[in-house]
Amino acid sequence: MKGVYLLLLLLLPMLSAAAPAETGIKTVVRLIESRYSVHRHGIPALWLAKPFLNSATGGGGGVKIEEFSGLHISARDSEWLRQHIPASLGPDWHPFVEEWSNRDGEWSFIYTRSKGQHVSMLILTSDEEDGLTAVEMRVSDQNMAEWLDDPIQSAKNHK
Amino acid sequence: MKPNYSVALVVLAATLTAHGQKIQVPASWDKLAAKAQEVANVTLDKSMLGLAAKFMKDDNDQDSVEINRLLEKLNGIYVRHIEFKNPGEFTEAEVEPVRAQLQGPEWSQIVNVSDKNSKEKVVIYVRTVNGKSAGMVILAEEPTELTFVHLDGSIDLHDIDALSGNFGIPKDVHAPKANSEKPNPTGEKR
Repeated sequence: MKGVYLLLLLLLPMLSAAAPAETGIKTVVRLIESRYSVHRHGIPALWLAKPFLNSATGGGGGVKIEEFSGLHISARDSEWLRQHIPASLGPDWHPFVEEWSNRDGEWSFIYTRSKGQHVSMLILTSDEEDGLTAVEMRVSDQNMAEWLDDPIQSAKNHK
Repeated sequence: MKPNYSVALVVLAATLTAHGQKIQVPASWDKLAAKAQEVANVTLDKSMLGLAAKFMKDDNDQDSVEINRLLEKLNGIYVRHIEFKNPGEFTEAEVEPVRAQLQGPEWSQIVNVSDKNSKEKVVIYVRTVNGKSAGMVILAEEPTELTFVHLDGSIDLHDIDALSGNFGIPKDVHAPKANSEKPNPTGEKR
């Protein structure tokens, strides 16, 4: 029996190394931190707001938010992120909507992932006032149908 | 044995040419986007279309059934939309390279409608491979807006009606009524 435990102990690191790491908001945060030499800001007491946030996502839930409040990347300079985020997220995530304004410098990149019964959305948005914000959330069926109905307007409404 | 580089180059060139025919978004579009005020890109690849089919499935809704039937035929929907502040900020000459990329042997322009009053113009190109429809491009122009839609897959002109207004495809793009599918020589809406 000891031998089996020993074998499992030896195999465990190999199995975890073989399993592809799940990508998402943390992947994007790491990419931004390394590219722009900045650190994210967590949102204090986010758990208090989560019931409201879950409601805002149509009950999808699983909301994660990271902020880079001092980081302003203009729409034109966002091209680097636009090129590199899909590669860092890997094949599970699909670019869905990219929207930017050359007038006020605001932009949003939106990616989706389908896993089991759930669809997640990863939204990266930047504006002059708030800086860069990354949000990952599960999307309800109703919300996803609305996004598909009019993705461009939905992206504008989200900002 | 020496590798035959010339054969490899010919194969590569043929592959690139074939890929070029299967146009997604012309590179010249980026030049227009750079000077626009607002830019939006919507990408629905095969996987996203599968997801869309799941979310739009409603067996009791005829429109939903029709959209699902069309999504199965498509490999991707790519929408590029740009908005300018004022009319006249882009010229026909700047749009021409976009059209030029749709003039290969597989592409044919089948609809060209313009409205003198609203100054709107819709041009539809169809890609045909071995006699079968393999894709469609819609180029919709307004005085301050340009929309480029590429429907990649075996889709017919009349399928546009079901898709317009969804997935970022402009809702005012429709297939012409029967007997008016040939390019309008005057290019004007009657």
